[in-house]
Amino acid sequence: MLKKLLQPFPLYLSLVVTSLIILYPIFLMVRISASYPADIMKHHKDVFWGPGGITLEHWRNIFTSGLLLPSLFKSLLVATMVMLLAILIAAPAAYVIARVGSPWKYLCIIALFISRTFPEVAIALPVSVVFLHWHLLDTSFGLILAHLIKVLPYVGWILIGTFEAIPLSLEEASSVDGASKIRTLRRVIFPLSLPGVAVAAMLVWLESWNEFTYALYLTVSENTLPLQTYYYLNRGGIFNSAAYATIITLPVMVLTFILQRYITSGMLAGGVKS
Amino acid sequence: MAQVILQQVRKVYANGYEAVKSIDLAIHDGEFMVLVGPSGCAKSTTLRMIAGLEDITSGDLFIGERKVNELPPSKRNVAMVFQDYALYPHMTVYENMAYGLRIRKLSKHEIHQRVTNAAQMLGLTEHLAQKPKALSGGQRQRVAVGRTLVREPEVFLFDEPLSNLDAKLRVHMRAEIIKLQKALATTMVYVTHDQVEAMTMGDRICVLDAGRIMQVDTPLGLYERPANRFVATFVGSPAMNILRGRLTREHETYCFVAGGMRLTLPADKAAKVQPYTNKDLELGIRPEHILDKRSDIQADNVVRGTVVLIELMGNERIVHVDVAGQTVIGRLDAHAPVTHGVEHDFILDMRYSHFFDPESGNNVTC
Repeated sequence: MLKKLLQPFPLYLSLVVTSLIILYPIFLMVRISASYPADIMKHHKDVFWGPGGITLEHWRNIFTSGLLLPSLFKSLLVATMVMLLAILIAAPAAYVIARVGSPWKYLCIIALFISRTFPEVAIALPVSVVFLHWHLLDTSFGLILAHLIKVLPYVGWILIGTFEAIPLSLEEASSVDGASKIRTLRRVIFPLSLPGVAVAAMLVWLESWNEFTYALYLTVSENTLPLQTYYYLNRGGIFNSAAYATIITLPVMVLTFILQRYITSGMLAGGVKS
Repeated sequence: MAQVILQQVRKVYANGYEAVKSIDLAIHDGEFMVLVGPSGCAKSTTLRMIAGLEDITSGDLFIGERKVNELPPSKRNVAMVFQDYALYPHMTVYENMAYGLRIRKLSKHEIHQRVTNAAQMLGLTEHLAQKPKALSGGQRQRVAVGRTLVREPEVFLFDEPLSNLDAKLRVHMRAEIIKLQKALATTMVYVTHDQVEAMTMGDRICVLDAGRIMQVDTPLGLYERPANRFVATFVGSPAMNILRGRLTREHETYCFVAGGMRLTLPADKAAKVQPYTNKDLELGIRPEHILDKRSDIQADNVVRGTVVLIELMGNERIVHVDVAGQTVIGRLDAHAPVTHGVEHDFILDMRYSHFFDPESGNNVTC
């Protein structure tokens, strides 16, 4: 009895330790954003919280600065649009690539990643020059386009794998059952690809939300949240910076929590005999 | 219900490979037609062409009175059971079966009635709310069959539906499908590579090899009157013995001579093989027509050979006999006095013999 109770103990212990390692830096970030500078800027560090206690001064600073809301709005807009556009553009292409014969398939996948072989800092400069001509500098639309360069290969790659995993015989069965191509896509392919689409959407949103390089090159005045964090950091405002970093982290947690229920394994189980 | 007619139907793939080489086949209304043949014989391709899942390169395909060459699968009013079941994994058993009916915009009441009826017939009533992954292989197979049943199509198509089931379940499902077909009396085209399945299920069987029809006949017709060597050796287990030899004429009798064997042909066979006198010929004889010669019997057509292998099946013994360098397989009584490695006399019952042209493989005694 005791043995049975203790058996999962090593698993739980390792989970607790891993969680602590992951969560402590996040805790530090939150602590810095809500601590008095005197508690942080001292030689002898506290493990949990400084003796000064909690202060909301830095949070008040960033909320009253008038810079937070425009940045937050821009980051949200860009990330969400990039996510929607990437899925809309990549899904039909990925479906077609997944259904063509193998030599073409691999060529397509390799071609997708060509743009990823150059370092971002190298592409960002020419991109910003071109965008300057096109009057896309310092616009949300320009940043969305730039982010698409970055994320489309990943989304394509994930979705090709997703569609490939859906057996062709399901489409055939649907068509023999009397369904049109569109109906088959809507009723069979789309529901079955949802887990893959959810993963891709989540990764894209996070990628765009956290993106720094393109944002730095393509922004003159309207900062995204990561840029705003960086500017505070640059000016030595680590407390305000920590508050920003906390704000950046929150939606990531919420989004992951919402989308993780779509990431179910075994979605395709039982459909066809493998 | 409808007949299915294939007229000079060919299938050539984009890479130039000709999978189906001009097939003519008429499947009658309400008939259970089995397409059988070894892998790559184009039986599945032919079925998929009937379903509309493969384009027809040339020729005409009729379902009922309609020419359906250009019709998509959704417009052909056929229902198909796939080899891998192809159930929609995100839908419940009920939704899987109702899918095709909803597309046809049947009333909710009608859909409910048809699905519950089919479920009852197939013993799936308790599983209607479950998803396919919660079911066993046999149950999934039945859902796949149920999905076609509720559609009440003109033609049922089955693509090796039992090949994924274990032996016991396969025999059970085989009987279920036969009963179902008899009850519905709907045209059914059934693809299998298993000749036992073909023999037990089909009203008629179409034997295919390398994209060509070898013979279309009733199961007994195929067994007793194979049109060629391929059909003769494909149908029946163990397969028909094929012996190479020469036809000779001695006075008024015709003899088949091979190695140490000298076999006299009955008059009706002799009449048909006359043109092959002094030419090479192949003799085909089924294992059950190789008889054990008791020492007290006098008989013609006795061959002597060494028993190289005995397979005891319980009710019978399958013996492999080496006769002058050619192996002959016989099906003997379980108590036949044969011993491994010992020479023994056997009678070849030439009344049931077949002779094949060595070049074309055609049965010249049919």
